[in-house]
Amino acid sequence: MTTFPSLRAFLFLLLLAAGLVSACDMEQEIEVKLPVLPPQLVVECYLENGQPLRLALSESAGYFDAPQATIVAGATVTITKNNEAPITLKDSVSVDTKNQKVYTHFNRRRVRAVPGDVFTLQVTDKQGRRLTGTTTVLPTVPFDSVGYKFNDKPAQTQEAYLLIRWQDDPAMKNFYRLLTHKKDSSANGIDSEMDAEVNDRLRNGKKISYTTTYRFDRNDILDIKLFHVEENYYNFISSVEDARRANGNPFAQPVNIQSTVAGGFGVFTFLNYETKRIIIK
Amino acid sequence: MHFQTQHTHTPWPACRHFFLFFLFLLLLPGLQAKAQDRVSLTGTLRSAASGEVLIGASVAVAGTTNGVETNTNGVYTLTLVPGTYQIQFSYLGFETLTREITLRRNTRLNVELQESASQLKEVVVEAQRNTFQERLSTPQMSMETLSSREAKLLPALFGEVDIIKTLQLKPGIQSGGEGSSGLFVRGGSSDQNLVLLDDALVYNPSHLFGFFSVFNPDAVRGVELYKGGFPAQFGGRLSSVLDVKLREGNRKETDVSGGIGLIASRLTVEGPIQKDKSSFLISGRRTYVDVFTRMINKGKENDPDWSPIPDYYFYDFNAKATFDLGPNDRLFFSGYYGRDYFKFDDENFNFNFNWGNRVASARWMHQFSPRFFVNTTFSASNYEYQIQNQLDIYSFSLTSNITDFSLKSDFEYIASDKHHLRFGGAITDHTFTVGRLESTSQDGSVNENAGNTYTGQEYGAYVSDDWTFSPSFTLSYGLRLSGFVNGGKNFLGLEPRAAASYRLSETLTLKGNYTRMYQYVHLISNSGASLPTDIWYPSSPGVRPQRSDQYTLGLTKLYKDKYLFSTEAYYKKMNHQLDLRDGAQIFGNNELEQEFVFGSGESYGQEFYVEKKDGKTTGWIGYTLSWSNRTFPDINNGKTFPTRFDRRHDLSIVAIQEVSKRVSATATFVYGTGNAFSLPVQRFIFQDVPGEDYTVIPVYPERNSFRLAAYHRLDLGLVLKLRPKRGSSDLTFSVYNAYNRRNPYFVYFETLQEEDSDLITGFVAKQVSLFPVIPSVTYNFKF
Repeated sequence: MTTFPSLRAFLFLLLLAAGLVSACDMEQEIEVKLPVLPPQLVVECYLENGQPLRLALSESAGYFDAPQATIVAGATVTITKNNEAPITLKDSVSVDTKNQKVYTHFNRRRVRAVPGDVFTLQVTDKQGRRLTGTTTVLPTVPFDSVGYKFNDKPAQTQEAYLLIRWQDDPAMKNFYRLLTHKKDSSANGIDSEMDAEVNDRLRNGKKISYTTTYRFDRNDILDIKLFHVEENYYNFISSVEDARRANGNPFAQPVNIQSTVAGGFGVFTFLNYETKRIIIK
Repeated sequence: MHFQTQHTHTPWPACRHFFLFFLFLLLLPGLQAKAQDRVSLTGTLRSAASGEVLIGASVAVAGTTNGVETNTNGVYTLTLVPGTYQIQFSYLGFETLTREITLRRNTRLNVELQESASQLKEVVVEAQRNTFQERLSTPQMSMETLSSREAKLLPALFGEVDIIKTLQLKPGIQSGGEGSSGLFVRGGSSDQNLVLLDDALVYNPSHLFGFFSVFNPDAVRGVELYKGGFPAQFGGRLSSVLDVKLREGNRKETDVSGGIGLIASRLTVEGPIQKDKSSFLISGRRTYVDVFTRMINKGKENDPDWSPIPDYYFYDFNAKATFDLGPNDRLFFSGYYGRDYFKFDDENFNFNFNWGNRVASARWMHQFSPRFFVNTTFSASNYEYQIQNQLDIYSFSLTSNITDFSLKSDFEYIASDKHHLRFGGAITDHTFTVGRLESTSQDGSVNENAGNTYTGQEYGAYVSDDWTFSPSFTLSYGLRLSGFVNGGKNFLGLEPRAAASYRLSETLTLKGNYTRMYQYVHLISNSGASLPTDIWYPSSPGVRPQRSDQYTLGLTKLYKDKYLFSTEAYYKKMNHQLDLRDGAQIFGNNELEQEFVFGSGESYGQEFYVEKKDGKTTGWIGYTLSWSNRTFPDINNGKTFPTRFDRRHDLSIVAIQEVSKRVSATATFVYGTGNAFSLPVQRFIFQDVPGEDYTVIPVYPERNSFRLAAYHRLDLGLVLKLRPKRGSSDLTFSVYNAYNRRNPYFVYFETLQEEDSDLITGFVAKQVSLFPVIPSVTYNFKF
């Protein structure tokens, strides 16, 4: 809510100007020659208590290359918990159709971790490229309260906002990711209703409140997840969002992706979250 | 040299030099004694019609190269041996006056010049020759002057004459992009311009997100822009000084003038308070696009699919009053107030954003003797923005402002015909309120505050001397001592200034200069452009002052008294440059300094300029070859990168054709290398956690490593003078971008997806342009 209000206002005016002159065809397709840079490893691995070890390994590609992601085959992938023996993830492509996710490496062993545990990722591919990452398990942060409130419109068109509160730990800098998912009309589909990155910079040790706009309807079934995340994951998510916004914004500076791993792009983190289901009535 | 007072070993040597320099000046009475066998001729030049003083007018001994220009008070002083002389007074647009005068003692001669009704060739030629001669002989270089009168002749975007945009047609000065009134001077940043309106600082000199400057052409007399070779009385910014002077108003009779344009109208009232002794001027303007957008919104009130167009407008007022207190004292009061408003209201969402400057100054000019003047100015300047946002139960407000109070005295002493001294001092008190944020909700669940207030005191003292060593060699040298106090830290800076000119022949002069500048306040921008929400931040224990050293070497050639050619090569090194780290959060952040990164900048290039001011066809051609780079250890992996406004080639051609006494046709053509731009080279797919959709993430390997296509544009204009029964009026026609060139504003990459499945099918590059051909007409009147 606090980012670049003037920029948004200006972009709005620009869009308006662009709309007014759209008949003049002020946007045109052009050819841009991009230098060819070596592809880099891209990893996504989220550890969760009770879940098997799964990882997606791919490569970055030239912007105008074929749109399909390039899967990296034959890489050696190990995950080590604390000082225990490394666990190797097998090269095996699987698809989670419910969540529409693709994994390239798998080990059926389920994750068991407590706050303070440290996991280390090592990836070495056939070309000798090496990617490493570390994550520390944080304690979950419980919800203090989750509620909703309708606006004053007639009952048929009423919408509700969500109010979510939790207590921040004053002893440390904390970073959070708050997600809300709603089942969509298809059998297994899920709609993302809210994705907020929150830090305690102005609220250290206080109760943190997060309020949405009026956007929820009666009978919506919402799953709210409060992730207590590491700073590097928070930075990664923020930089990914900034980089996406920079493309198409004439004033944005280019943004470097702040990966949580070294040797490529991506994220290796332990997901620790509280979840709460709420039905808007 | 830069040092801090707590380092006891460093201040003394610097101060010692400073005092030695003052000591040297104390020895000047010797020079003055030699001058005592000379007498001075002094006076004020005014317009006969309005009584306004004429600044930069030429006063010369006919048939010689002995001449001076009137200063900012319209005052001239010639120092001559007793005798009889033909003195020629000339100013462009006015009839040249020649008076024979016999000088036996110090003499005062006030002169009024008649505005030239007909552009008689000999009148213009004389004025031009004197102006060109002055520019040939002065050591001052890297300076551009422009009057509102000239700017009003040229075509303008939406017909809105903007003196700053006209200045962008001069070499070494670049705009921030299509239609922008931003100034990027010799590779400097947009915050490195010292913008003065009647000696008061203006922090944000633009309206409408930079598309128009705050300077109303009806109220402004003219501007001087220094790109280098900064005189010692100026300090506080690295790259330029933009000295804007308001008109004084008609001292003889009351005038009403104005203009009705496509998007804005202007009205000015001026006249004597006491005839020939005092005058006032009040000028205002307002845009009215919001009137039409409100009508459109009202008409679409019942359309559920209609998204209301936000309200946008700006207005500004200028006022000035001038009083002659006696033959030796004048008093000036100037003020500016301007606001931009952007509003959006609907059922659940309310967004109010306004910003603007308030500027006021009071100046007392006192003349101790024909050779000794002082100007003492008290000024106040404020810039602030406020954003108020109501979204359902949330309310959010963000304000930021900077307030200055400043007092300065500038002395001018013509010690002899060889030495022209200037000295003085200034002190400014700054108050910065940075990012005052309040976020609350009606139910009390949200209540957050952020923001800091800082204060700082900036001061400067200077002395300089224009030394005419011989008829062919002139040296201008000076020293400025500047400082800044904030947070218990005291910064001091010594700023040497030197300029020399050597006349190689009657028509050819070699010039050079060196200047050092310090800048103690910094603009924090995360946009790469100038936006109203950019924040001014003071130097502090964690943020060192910016510093620049600039060297310039040039040649000026007068050809057939008609054409003035000049070329200047420059090199500028900038230290302690400030930028933001990737992903910096500048709102709601009480520890802003943690977001800063520091580096250096370098720019160099060569400018070429030729100007013609007489005949039916007048105008100029400017060309600049330049480089502008920055190096930050924390940006671009420490690798040097070009600034967005690094422009290898920049060409401007301005032509004004007097078709008849009533019709002038004008054309401007600009060509520039495309702006440096960042584009992603690679991408990857980010799947995210379960429940979230996958996205395409762009990878930017380097900053500003691409170039947009070249920018070029032709504007045409026509001024048609009408014959009203009373007063005067004209119709000004403009065609912006006459051949409808699609100039690139920015480029982005679009992801192509199947409509039903959202499956990505490919990627394309799109170029967005801003303005197609835009014709406009403005009606101007005066009675």
